[in-house]
Amino acid sequence: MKRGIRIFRWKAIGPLLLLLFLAGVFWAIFGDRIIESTSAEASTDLLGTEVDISGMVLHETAARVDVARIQIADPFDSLRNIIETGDLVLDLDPAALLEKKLVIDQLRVSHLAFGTKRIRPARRARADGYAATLLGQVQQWATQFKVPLLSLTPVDTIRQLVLDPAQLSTIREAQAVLASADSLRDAFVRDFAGLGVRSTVDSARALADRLTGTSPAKLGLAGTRDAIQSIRRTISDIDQTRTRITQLERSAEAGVRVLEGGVAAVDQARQNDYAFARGLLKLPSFSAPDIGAALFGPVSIDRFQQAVYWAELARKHLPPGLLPQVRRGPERLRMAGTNIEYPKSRDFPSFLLRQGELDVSFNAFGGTHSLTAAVRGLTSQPAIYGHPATVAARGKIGGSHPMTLDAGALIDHVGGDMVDSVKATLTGVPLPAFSLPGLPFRVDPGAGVSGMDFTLRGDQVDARWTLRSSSAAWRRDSSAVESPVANLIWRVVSGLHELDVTAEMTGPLRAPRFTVHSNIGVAIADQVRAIIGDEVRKAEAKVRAEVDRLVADQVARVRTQVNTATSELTTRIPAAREELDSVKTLLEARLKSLTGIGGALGLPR
Amino acid sequence: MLAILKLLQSLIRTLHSDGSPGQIAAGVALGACLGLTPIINAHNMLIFALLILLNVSLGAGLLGWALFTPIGFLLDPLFDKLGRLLLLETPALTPFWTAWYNTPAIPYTNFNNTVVLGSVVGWMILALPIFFLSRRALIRYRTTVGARVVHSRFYQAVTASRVYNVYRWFRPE
Repeated sequence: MKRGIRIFRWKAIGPLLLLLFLAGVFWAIFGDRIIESTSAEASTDLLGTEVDISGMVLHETAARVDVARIQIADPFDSLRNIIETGDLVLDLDPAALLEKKLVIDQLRVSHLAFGTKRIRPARRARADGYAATLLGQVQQWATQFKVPLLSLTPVDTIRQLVLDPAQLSTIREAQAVLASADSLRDAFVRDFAGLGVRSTVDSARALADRLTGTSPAKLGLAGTRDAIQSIRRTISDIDQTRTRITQLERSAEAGVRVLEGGVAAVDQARQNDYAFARGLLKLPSFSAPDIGAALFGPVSIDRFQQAVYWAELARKHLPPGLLPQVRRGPERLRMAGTNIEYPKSRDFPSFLLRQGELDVSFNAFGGTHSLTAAVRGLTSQPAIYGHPATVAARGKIGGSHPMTLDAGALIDHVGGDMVDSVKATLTGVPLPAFSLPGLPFRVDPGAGVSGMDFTLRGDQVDARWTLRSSSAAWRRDSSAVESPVANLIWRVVSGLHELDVTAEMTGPLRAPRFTVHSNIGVAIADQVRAIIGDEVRKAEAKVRAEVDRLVADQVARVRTQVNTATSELTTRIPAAREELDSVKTLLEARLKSLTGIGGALGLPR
Repeated sequence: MLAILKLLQSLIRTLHSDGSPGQIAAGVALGACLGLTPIINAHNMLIFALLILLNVSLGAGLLGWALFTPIGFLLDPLFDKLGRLLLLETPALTPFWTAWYNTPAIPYTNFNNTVVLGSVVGWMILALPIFFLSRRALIRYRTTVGARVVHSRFYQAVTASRVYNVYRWFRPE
């Protein structure tokens, strides 16, 4: 008898269970390492800088993870770690894990260090990833700030000034205004002629003359009626012409405003040309903000650039709202694809650090250190969590340079305008020595106070970076060529022991205003002004004279043309209106004399 | 080498005597899922368990896996588009995916990845055609060149190997 086909292969259950057992053994041996490398890879991708994780141990039954060490490299300096932590304990929410979400109830860290050196350079972020793109954009953004170069070139280079008129924007601007004035004037003359003011006035005056000395008795009933109708028709023509004149007057006024704007633009272009010609001579500036920017611009822009990078990264990875979030899929042999996360209110976010704490006191590097820090509400979906993320850190670092740290940060992406801010002050920090660009001097600020106050609200940035020290020491580069100017500046700055720098960035993030104030800048500016101020002023006067010589004809033509056009526009219209008014008055007098009896006779009105 | 030999043995034996054409075609259709979709995913554990537990040809499953793996690589851009269409470009499905993504255990299917979802849906669409085509091809093979292959020295050599015995545990009954 034929045996029916059985659906299940019961004898395969044994091997299947064996396979499951082997999978369990594999997980027990390699699970920690798999999760460790996956976490490191995902964090590296997320932050755009190498994240090294070592010594990760999963405690599946306790929903806890221990990590021996985490290093996060500085994306702007591959040989430095921004932060290095040790002995981390993460208590996870098991219910969230069931939904493949990472919710950390409590994070405890017992070791923390900033700015540590790396043994090997950090890997670069994946070139096609968001972080690498952002890094490139931020670096490009930083190039918009034109930091002036501090130059003490001898002033006699004025002799070499050769200006090409084609380079001067005044000439281009003047030609544009001349063309505009010509076309405006032509259009006005054409439109004015089209009004027919002369013919209207002439025919009205002829009618008035014809009716002079007549009366209803002489004209008779029909003649009087015809005369009244003619007068009314002509008055109506005059009124219509007057209305058209008013319209033409409005457009002429707008044209005059355009010309006035053109004249102002020519003046502004001339100022720009002065600056351009001055730039060709590389005249030294004695503007304190310029000198401050020349000395401390690059270093402060570097700080702001880093803050903008982290703020933009936070905005990308911690977006507001509950829309599906699109992320790149995992690296694998097959195509990575795209992962889509679907946030749901009153559920777990994909990532949440409810509370992280650090409270340590330890002896190391010849000193006693104590640090407390707290992180709250850091989440990938702030709209679900409903509260802004906050970070606070405070502590003392002992050793040969005792320092105190006071820092706080806020990431508010819950709703409305996103706000990202950080405020940090480091007191007693050994500030790095640096050379003054353009001068053979080096300053060692010693220990001082460094502060950063950065807020990005919507697309408006308001940031301040400060550096203060009262123990600055100066050193002169003995190998540099002696220069009288440098000698005189050295006499002043070498006596300065106070260092006070404030760099500010405010306005729309796309193009913020950047300024630097520093007491060194003021001191150098005063010296430059005292030493070579007269020569610079003379050179500037020559520059202005040269520019004026090249643009004078064009500017004079502009003024003449604009004045002619403006006077044409402003004199013709009142004259025409006056003529129309006078002839209208004449006609109204005739009408009155005719309708005085006509009214009684029941003449048409 | 051992793996290749085993695969060869299973291929030869599968085509000739182990199981009905339906069992072999079912094995190929299930194995196609392993090849068409990214392998390290929860649904493939289920497919693998089915291949072992159901009375289908495991050899045919392995054959299907081997045959469809390169096809899977080739079709990945298409699967990505299909997944994108379902996950992102069909707003009517968003509430469903939101519920899916926030249900315990379900997110481990990785069906929120465009390639995973697209390839699984692609396999579901292709599974029946694969089943019927392979069954038809097998019947035709057995009735044409199959008998000559059985008597060839190559076939005798392959089936004589002891490794073949391991495979016999899982041959269809």
